[in-house]
Amino acid sequence: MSEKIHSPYKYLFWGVVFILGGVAWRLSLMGWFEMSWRFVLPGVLIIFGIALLISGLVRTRPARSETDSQQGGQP
Amino acid sequence: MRSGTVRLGEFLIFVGAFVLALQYIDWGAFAPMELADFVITAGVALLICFVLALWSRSPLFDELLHLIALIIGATALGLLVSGAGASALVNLAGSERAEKTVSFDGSFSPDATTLTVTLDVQNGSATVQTWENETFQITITARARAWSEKEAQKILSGVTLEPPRLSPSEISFRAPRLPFGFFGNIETNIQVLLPRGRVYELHLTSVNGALNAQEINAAQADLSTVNGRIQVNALTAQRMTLRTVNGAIGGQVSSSEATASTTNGPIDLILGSVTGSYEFSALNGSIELDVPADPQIGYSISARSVISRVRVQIPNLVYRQQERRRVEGVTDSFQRAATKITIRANTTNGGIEIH
Repeated sequence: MSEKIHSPYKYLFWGVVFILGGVAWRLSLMGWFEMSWRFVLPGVLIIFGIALLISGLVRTRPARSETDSQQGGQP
Repeated sequence: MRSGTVRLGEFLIFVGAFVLALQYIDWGAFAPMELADFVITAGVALLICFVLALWSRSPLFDELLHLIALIIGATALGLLVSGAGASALVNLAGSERAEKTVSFDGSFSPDATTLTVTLDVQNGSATVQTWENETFQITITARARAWSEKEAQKILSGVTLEPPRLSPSEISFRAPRLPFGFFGNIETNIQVLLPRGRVYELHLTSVNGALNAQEINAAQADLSTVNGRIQVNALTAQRMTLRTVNGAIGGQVSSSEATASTTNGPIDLILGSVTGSYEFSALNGSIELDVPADPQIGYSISARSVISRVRVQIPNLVYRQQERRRVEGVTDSFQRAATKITIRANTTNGGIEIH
């Protein structure tokens, strides 16, 4: 199989960033908390961190399962 | 080399989509809650792209997915940057505005007891306020937006601003029903200045636009919009209906019978010291009410939120029900109070504060 030009995990990363950012924005509009500048920078860092974490975990999972299946396939 | 060429093409498409999103989508016409929903939807769409890209074995399909993801990203970036006021910078490269204003003056019959003002705007805001003069003044502004000034002028020249219908006791204006452009590039705003000290019947309607009423004494006030804020300052009305779908409701009101409802947006109102029954409802939005701190006023409160906290801080309130998400009660002097205010407030997503 030829290597992909674009990594699909970038879509995952930005998808998670948009969803978390959008949900945080929505909750602040609904009055759950007040979106002040003091929260914006740490909030952005946390959202990016969670998105990196999730995309990193998803990226590593198929590689490990492939190895496991190869090891398990030998009697 | 192939990869480099593809990436350059994608970069140009991204920049083009970004500038289009910044210029030709009027983000200001959307309520903040809608914009947040758009960002969430963009995220979900990117996750779908991710799943499809993992599954795909075709380079062409991969490229198609990447283009879709780029356009989603560029549009979302346009949304965020437009909120930061950067669109004005890009305006130099593209968008131009043109506007024309017409103004009408007149006076009402001094014998008319109730004066009717009916404004029906499709894409634009309506503002009604009083002034010291005995005459009224109506200002209508049509505004077009396009790539060039010439094009904006051309769009504007196709718009005929019909004068409002005037009679000794009535003003009635209906904005021209223009077919929405792909991005809705024309709006009609109207401002009406009315003599103070008269009693009015207000009917303000819009689809995309804010509604404002200031210092009006009305027998009836109906303000209804779909996408836009409703702002009322010192609006006194025997019967009042404030209704929006995507937008906030705010200001200062006094009414015998009032209803305020929104689907997406908060309600933040200051209530006056007159006997009245108020009903507030929101689906996605908080409700905050400032009530007069007068011990002579009796209160009957019923407030319920489906998932958030309800706080009621009114002295001498005898609670019939006091839970985290539901509060009901009446003040001990309610039955004998000269001024009685009854409040019913319901929201699904959002807190309620009455103080």
